[in-house]
Amino acid sequence: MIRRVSLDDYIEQDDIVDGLRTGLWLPRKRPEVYPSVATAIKILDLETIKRLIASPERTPAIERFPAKVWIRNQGRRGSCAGYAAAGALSRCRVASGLPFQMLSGEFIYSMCNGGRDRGSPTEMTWQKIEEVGAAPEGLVQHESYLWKQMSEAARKAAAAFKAWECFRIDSALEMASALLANFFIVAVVHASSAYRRVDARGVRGRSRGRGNHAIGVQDVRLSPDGKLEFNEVGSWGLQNGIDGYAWLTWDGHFESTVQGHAFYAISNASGDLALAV
Amino acid sequence: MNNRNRLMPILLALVGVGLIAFGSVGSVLPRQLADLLKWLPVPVQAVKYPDASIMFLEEASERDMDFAMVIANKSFTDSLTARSIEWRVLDDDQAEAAELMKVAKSPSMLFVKPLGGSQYEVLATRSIPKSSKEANAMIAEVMGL
Repeated sequence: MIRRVSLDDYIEQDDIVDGLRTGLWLPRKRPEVYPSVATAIKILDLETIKRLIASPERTPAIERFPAKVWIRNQGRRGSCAGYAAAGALSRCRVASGLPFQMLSGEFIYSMCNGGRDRGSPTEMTWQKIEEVGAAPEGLVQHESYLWKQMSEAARKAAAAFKAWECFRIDSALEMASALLANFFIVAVVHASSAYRRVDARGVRGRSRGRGNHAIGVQDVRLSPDGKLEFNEVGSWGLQNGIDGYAWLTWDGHFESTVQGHAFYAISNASGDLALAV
Repeated sequence: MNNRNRLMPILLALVGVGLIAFGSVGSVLPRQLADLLKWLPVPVQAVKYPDASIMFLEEASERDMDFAMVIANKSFTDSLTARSIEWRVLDDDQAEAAELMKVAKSPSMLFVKPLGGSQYEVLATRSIPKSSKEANAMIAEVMGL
C-alpha cells in the first residue's frame, strides 16, 4: 500500500544558486512511498549495462528529445519538482507512442506548494499526477503557481495526462537499469556554483550535499574510463549546461542526495491511450 | 556375353545417373513435378492489414530489455510514423488494456483495428519483437508495408 505524504513531512528549503531558483524541500525522513524498482525490473549487472548502452538498436535520449523542443525554464519560481515531473511524464508519453504534448510544470507545482511560491517536495508531485494529472503547458500561464490560477480547461484536460506505475530508485545500477528499460526518472542534486560548471564532455562539477534541486534523468552512458554517467534534464532553459542538458555521476552528484531523498521512475503514461479510430 | 551386350547395361546406367545428377537443370521430370505441385493444397495467401495499428501489450514492470531497445530506436519509431502506423505501448494492468486482455495474452505485439475508446478488433497477434528488424518483418508480414 502506498503511503500518502503531507507537506508536514518536509522541511522547506528554497535555495538560489548563481541567481537561479531551486525549490526542492527536504524530507524529514527518507520517504519510501513507492515500491523499489528492484521489485519490478531486473537490475542489471555492469557488464550487461555496458552491452546495452553500446547496442546499435538504441538512440541516445538527447537525439530522441532534442533540446530546442524539449527543454523548459522554470523562471523565477521554485517549481523544479513540478518541471522535473512534467518533463519525465511528457517524455514517457512519447516513448509509449503517444503524441507529443509538453505538460506544465506550473500546473503540477500549484498542487504541491501549499499555496505559496516556496518550493515543493517530489513525492507529492507524483501523487498529484496520479490523482489529478498534468495539464498541457499551452493551457497554463508561465510562472503561475497558485491552484486558483489554473483554468477550468486546464483542470479538465489534466485528467488525460496521468502517470502510470511509479518506482523508487536507490542505487546507480537501479537507475541505469530503469533508464535502459526506457523508464524516465526524477532525481535530486545539490545545486551549487561547482554544479553549475560543466567540463568539455558536458559533465557537471562535483557537488555533494543534502539535495536542493529536482531534475529529470533520461539516459545513461559510459565515461572514457568506463564509469556510468547520467543524462540530466534541466529546467533552467537552454543556457544551462549544454543546451539545457548535462551529465552527472553517481558518486559526484547522487550518492549524497539519495541518502535523504527518494528518486522516482515512471514506466508508462495513462489517461488518453486510445488509438484514433 | 560379347562386348556389345556388355556395353548396353553400362550405357543405360550412365543415362540413369545423368538424369539423377542433372535432372533439376534440364530434365523433363522436375517440370512435371512442378506442374503436379500446382494441384496440391498450399497455404492460403495471408490477408494483409495495411491500415492496422500496433499495440505492444506488456507488463512494464517485466519489460524485456531487447524490446526496450526497439522502442528507444528513433529510426524505427520514425519509420512507423513515416508509414502512418499508429502505435502504443500499453501496460496490461491499465484500464485501457482491459478489453484487449480478454482476447490477447501479454506480452504480445497486436495488430488491431481501433473501434473507439478502449475497444479494438485484434487482426493478428505476434510475439513482442526483440529487434527492430524482427518488428519490421512482422509488420511486412501482417500489414504488407
